[in-house]
Amino acid sequence: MSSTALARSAAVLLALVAGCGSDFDSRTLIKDFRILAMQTSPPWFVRGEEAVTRVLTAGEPRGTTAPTYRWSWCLLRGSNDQGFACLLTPELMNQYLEARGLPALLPSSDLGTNPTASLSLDIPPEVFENEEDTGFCSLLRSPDGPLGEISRFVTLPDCNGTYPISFEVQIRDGDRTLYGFTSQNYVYDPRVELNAQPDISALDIRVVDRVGNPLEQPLEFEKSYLFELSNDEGLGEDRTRTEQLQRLSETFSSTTSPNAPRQHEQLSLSWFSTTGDWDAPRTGYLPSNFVNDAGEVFDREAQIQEWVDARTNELELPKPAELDGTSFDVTIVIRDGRGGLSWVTKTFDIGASQ
Amino acid sequence: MKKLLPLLLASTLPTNALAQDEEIEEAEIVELPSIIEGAEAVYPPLALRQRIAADVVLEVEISETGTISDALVVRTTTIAETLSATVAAAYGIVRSSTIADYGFGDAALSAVRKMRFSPAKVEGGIPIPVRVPYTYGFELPPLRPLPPPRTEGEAGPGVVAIRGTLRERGTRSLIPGAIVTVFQDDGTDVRAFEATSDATGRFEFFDLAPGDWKIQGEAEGYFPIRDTLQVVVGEITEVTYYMEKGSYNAYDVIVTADRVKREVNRRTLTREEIRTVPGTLGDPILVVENLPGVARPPTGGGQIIVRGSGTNDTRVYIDGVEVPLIYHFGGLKSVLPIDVVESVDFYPGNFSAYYGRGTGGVFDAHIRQLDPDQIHGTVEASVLDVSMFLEAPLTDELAVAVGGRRSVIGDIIKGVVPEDASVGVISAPVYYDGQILSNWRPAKGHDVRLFFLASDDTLELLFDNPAAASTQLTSNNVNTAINFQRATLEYRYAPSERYQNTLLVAGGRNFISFNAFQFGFQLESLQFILRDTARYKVDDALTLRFGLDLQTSLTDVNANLPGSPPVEGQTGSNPDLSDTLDSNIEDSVNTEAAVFLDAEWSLTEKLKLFPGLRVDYFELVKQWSLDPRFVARYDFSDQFALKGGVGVVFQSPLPNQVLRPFGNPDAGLQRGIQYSLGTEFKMPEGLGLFSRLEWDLTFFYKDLSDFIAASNRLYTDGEPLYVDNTGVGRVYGLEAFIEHKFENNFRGWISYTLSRSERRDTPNSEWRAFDFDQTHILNMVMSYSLPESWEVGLRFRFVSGNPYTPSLTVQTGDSYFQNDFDSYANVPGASNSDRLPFFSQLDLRVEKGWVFPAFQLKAFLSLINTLNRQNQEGFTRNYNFTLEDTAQGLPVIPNLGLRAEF
Repeated sequence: MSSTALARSAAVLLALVAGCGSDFDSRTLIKDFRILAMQTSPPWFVRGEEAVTRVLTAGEPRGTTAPTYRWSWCLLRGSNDQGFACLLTPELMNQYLEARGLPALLPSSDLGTNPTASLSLDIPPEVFENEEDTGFCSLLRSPDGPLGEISRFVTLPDCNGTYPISFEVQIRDGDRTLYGFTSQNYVYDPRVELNAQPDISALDIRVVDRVGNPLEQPLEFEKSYLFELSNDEGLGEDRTRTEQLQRLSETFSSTTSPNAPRQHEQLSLSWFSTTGDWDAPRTGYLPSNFVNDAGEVFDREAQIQEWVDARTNELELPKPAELDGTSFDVTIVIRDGRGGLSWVTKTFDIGASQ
Repeated sequence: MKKLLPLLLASTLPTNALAQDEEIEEAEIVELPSIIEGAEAVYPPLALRQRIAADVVLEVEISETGTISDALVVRTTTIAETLSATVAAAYGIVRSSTIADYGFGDAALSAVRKMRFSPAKVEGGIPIPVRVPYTYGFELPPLRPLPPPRTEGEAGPGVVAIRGTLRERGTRSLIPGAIVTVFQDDGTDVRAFEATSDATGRFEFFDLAPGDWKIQGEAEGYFPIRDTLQVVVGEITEVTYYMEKGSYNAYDVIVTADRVKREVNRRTLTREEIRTVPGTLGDPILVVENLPGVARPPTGGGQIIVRGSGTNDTRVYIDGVEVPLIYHFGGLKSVLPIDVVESVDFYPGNFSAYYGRGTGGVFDAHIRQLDPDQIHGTVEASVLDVSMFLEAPLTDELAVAVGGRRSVIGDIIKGVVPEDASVGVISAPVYYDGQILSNWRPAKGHDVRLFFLASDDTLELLFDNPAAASTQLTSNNVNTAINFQRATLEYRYAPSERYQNTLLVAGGRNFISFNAFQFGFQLESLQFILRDTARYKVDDALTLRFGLDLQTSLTDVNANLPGSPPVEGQTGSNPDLSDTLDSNIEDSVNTEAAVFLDAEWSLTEKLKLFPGLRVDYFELVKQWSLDPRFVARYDFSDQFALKGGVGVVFQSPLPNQVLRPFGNPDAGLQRGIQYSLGTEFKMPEGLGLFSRLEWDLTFFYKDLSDFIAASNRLYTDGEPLYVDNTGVGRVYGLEAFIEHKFENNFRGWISYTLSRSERRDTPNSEWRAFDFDQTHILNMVMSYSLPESWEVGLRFRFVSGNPYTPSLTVQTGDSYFQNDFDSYANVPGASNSDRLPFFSQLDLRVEKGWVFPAFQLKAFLSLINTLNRQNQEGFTRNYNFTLEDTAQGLPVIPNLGLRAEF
C-alpha cells in the first residue's frame, strides 16, 4: 500500500470526523418496498437436507401488481463490478466434473418463482476434496479449471469441510428489480459442527426507561425512546445476559480439531422502523473472550461492544405531520456472523403529546 | 541629492479628464492636482557614482481620490555632470559609454506611486480622475570635499571619535562598502572626512574636533542615512544605523544564472516565488500544481499527477535523493518547509539520464545554500501550523541551520468534534517535521553539505459503535503513524573549471503503521542511497557527465488486509472482511542500481545536443533496463528556440504488486517512451510591459506499455495474481506557459495544458480514460507589489472534471442487497466513462510587511476558494445506491498568519 493511499484514507477519516454527508433517508427508515434480510433454514445444511431460503421484505410496493420472485443458486458469484453475475453455474460445473470422471450431481440453478426457494444437494465429500486433488475445490484453483475461462477478478472460497452456496432472489416491483444475495454453507465434511439460527423465541421488543422498566403506550411524538430486545421475565442483568447469549450467540470453533479454542459468535442487530430516526442503524455484540472445551478462557485484545449496549437503541419519534397513522412498526434483524439470522417485528402505538 | 520638479499642470500642458460620464467629460477643470505628500526616489547607485543626472518624464493617472492609479515612463533624459579630468580622477569617477539604462525610470515610477495628490476638480468642486505629464528630476548632490591629504610620515589614525556599524533595516545584515561622511560647518570653514564601511559594516573617524558633526551614509540600493552626532573629548561616540533598502521585494534581488537547458522542459521556482503564490500556502510542492503538465488532484488527495500518469509514476527528490512521503495528511502541506528550500525544479517529461525509475515527471527540490553573515531566522504561525527556522555562521567556513514545524489544524478539528459524536478523536491529526542543514567549505573547490529531514504524521480515532459501519468489524480503533528520517551528506569537489564531482550519501528510516479496525499494515525500512556524479568539460563544445545512482533498502512488512489494494481504474467493492490476506516479510533487501552517461554537445553556437543513456537494475523484479534519452535544442536567436526530445523510462511495479499474496511474482517493469517538441520565445526589448513576457509551447506524446493492470489469472497456488503487465496507455497533448518576469512590481504566469490520457487494461478491453485525465488545465497566477510593503496576489484555476465511473444502480433504480454483509452494493458502469463538471477556483493572498530595525514582520491572509464555489469532487449515495448527490470540495478556507524574519 502506498503512502499516498494511506494519506487518502486519513483524509477520508477526517471528512468522516467532520460529519460531511447528504440528506438521504436513513437506511433504518422503511418507506419504499425493500429487502431487509434473507434467511436460509437451516443456516448450514448437509447432504440430503433441504435448505429453505426466504426473504424479509418491508414497505409499500411501487408496482400496481404484487411483486414477483425468481430464485437461483450459484457456485461462485462475481463481485459488484461484475454485476454479481454467476461466474460458475451448476450446469457448467457439472460439465467439468463429468470430464474428470466425477458424478455430475448438481441440480439446476433455477429455484423457481415462489416467495421461498428450496435446495437440496446430494454430493459426496470426495467430489469437493479427495486425495487425488481432482475434486471441486482443486478444480476451482486450477488454471485449467472453469475459472480459466471466466474473465476478471474473483474471490475464491475456502474449502474447509464446507462450501458457500450463493442464493439469488430477483424481486420485480414495478419498473425496478430488487436483487438479494446470500450465501449459506453446504457442509460436506460430517466432522464440521453445524451452525444454528439465533434463538429469539423468548425475546421481544420493549420500550423501557433508563433503568429498564417498561413504558406504557401510546408513545408520544417528538420524543426519544429507548427500545430493547429483551425477555419479559424481570431477570437480573447478569442472568438476562447469560441466558440470552446462550440462545443467541453459540460458541464455536473455527477448526475441526477437538481441542481448538471456542468462541462466542459475534452478533449484530439491524434496527428498522417505519418512522423516526434510530441513534444507530446497527448495534453489535463483540465477545470479549473465547473458551476452549476444557473451559479455559482466553482474553481477547479488548472488549468493545457489550451485549447490554447491543440490545438497546434509541428512536427519536417524528412530528405528528410526518406520520400517517397512529402506529408504527419496529423490526430487528439479528445475525450471528456465520450465516445464522432471525428477526422480530412489533407494532407500537403513537399518540399526541400530553 | 534629488530635486522634485513640480512642472505639474502647467496650463500649456495637455491635461485629460478621464471620462466617467458625458457631463464630467465636457466640464472645465477649475482646480488642478497638487502634491500633498511627496516621495523620494532612490538615486540609481551607478548613476550616482558616475555623476549622471536625469529628468524622467512620466505620464501619471491621478484618481478622484488623489492616489496614483497608473503611471508609465514617457522618456528619460540623462545629463552627465561636467567634470575635469583631475576631479574625476580624484573622485575615482569612470564613466561607461555602453550603459543605456541606469534605472532612473523604475526609480521614478516607484517614488511617484508613493505620492499623494489633491485631485483635479471641475465646477462645483467635483473631483475627477485625470492623466497628466509629470517630470521627476534626479539632481546630483554636490561632491563631498575630499579629506586633506596626509603628509608623508604622518602618523596613522589617532583617537577614535566616532565608531559605527551599518546594518540593513529589517534583516540586520551588515552593509560593507558604504561611504560614510562627516561634516562640520561653522559658517566660515567646512571640514569633512570620509570613511568606507568594512566587511563587518563598521566605520571609524579619528581625531575629530569636539562639537556637532553631521554624518551621512550612502550605500548602493539603500536610502541614505543622515544624522548629527556630538563628539566629546575623551569619549567614543558609538552608533548603529539601520539603512532602509530601496525595495524589500525579494524578486528585486533574485539573480539566477541561466543553467544549461538539457531537458525539453524544466521549470524552476525559487523560494520567494513559491512563498507568495496564492492558493498553495507557500508550499514548495503544492506550487507546482500551477505549472503546465500537472493535473489538479482531488481535494485532500495529496497526489502528484503529471501528464495524466498514475499517482505513483512521478518521482520526488530532495537534491537528488528520493523521498518516500511527499505530503503530510490530506495533502495540505508537503513535508518540506519553504524556509529550507532554495528552488524547485520540475520536469514534466524527457528529463535527463540523471533521473529514472518513473514514467511520469520529476520534482527535485534544492536545499538552500547557507551563507549567513550572522544569525538569521524566521518564525511563522498560521491557522495550519507553526514553524521556525534559524541559521547561523559558526566560522567563516561553516554555517548551520535548524528548522521545525508542527500542525495546529488538527487541534482545531479535535476541538470542534462534539463530545457525543460517534467517532472519538483520541489523538488529533498532527504532523511534525524538522530539519538540520549545514554547509562547510573547508577550502576552495571543496563544499560539504549536510541535510537531515524528519517527518511524522499521526492520527488516532475511536469508533464507539463499529457495528454501525460493518457487521464484520472486530475492533473500534483506527490509527496511523507515518514517519521517516533522512540524512544526506553531499561532498562537491571542483578542482578546476573543467572537472567537478559530487558525491552524495544518504541514509534513513521509513516507518508506516496503519491500523483500521482488525486490519493493519506495518512497514519499517532502512534506506541507503549513494549517488556520485562526475562532470568533465572536454572543451568548450562538449561536456560529459557520468554517474552512479544506487538505492537499497532493508524492509520488514507485516500486513493483514481485506484484499489486495486496488490498481488504477478499479472501483471499490464490499470485501468479505473475514477473508484477509496476510503477509509477514522480514529483512527483505531490495536494491535499485543505475549508471548513466550523458553529454552536452554544442554542435554549433545555436545547435545543442544532449544524448544520454541510463542502465538500471531492479532487484524487486530482477530485471535490467536500458533507457536511451535524447534532447536537441536550436536557438534561432536570443528570443526564439526550437527544442525536442525522446526518451525511454522504465518503472518498477509497487512492492505489493509483486509480493504474494497481494500481487504477482511474475510482474515486471513498466515502460514509457516520452516524446516532446516545443518552442521558447522571449519578447524583444522595447515593448514596455510586454518585454518581460516569455512563452513556451510544447507538444508531447507518451507511449506506455507493460503497465500494471487488474488481472483474473491464477497463480500456481490457485489463488489470484490480482495484477499483470497487460496494460497499455497513451498520453498526448500540448502545454503552454506564458510568464511575465518580475518588472514594475508585477509578476505572473498563465499555464494551460490540453491533454488526453487513456489506457487499455487488457488487449481485449476498450480504451478508457486514466483516473485523472483532465482535458483542460488552466492556471493563472499573478502577484503585485504595492507601496507600503503591501502585496496582493491571486490564482485562478479552471480545470476539466475528473473521469468517474457512473453507477448503474442510480441509473436503473435497481438495488443489490448483500445479506452476508447486511449492506447494499453499488454496481458500477463502464470504468471512467463519465466526467465530473469543470472545476474552477479563485484564491487570493494579501500580505502586509513592516520593517523594523532588527526584523521584518509580515501578516498574510490566504483565501482558498475565495468565491466559495461548490466544486464537485465526486458523489455521495444513499444506503442502497439508488440516489446520488454531489460531493463537494473545500469551501472557502482562510489561512491567516504572521511571519517574522530577522
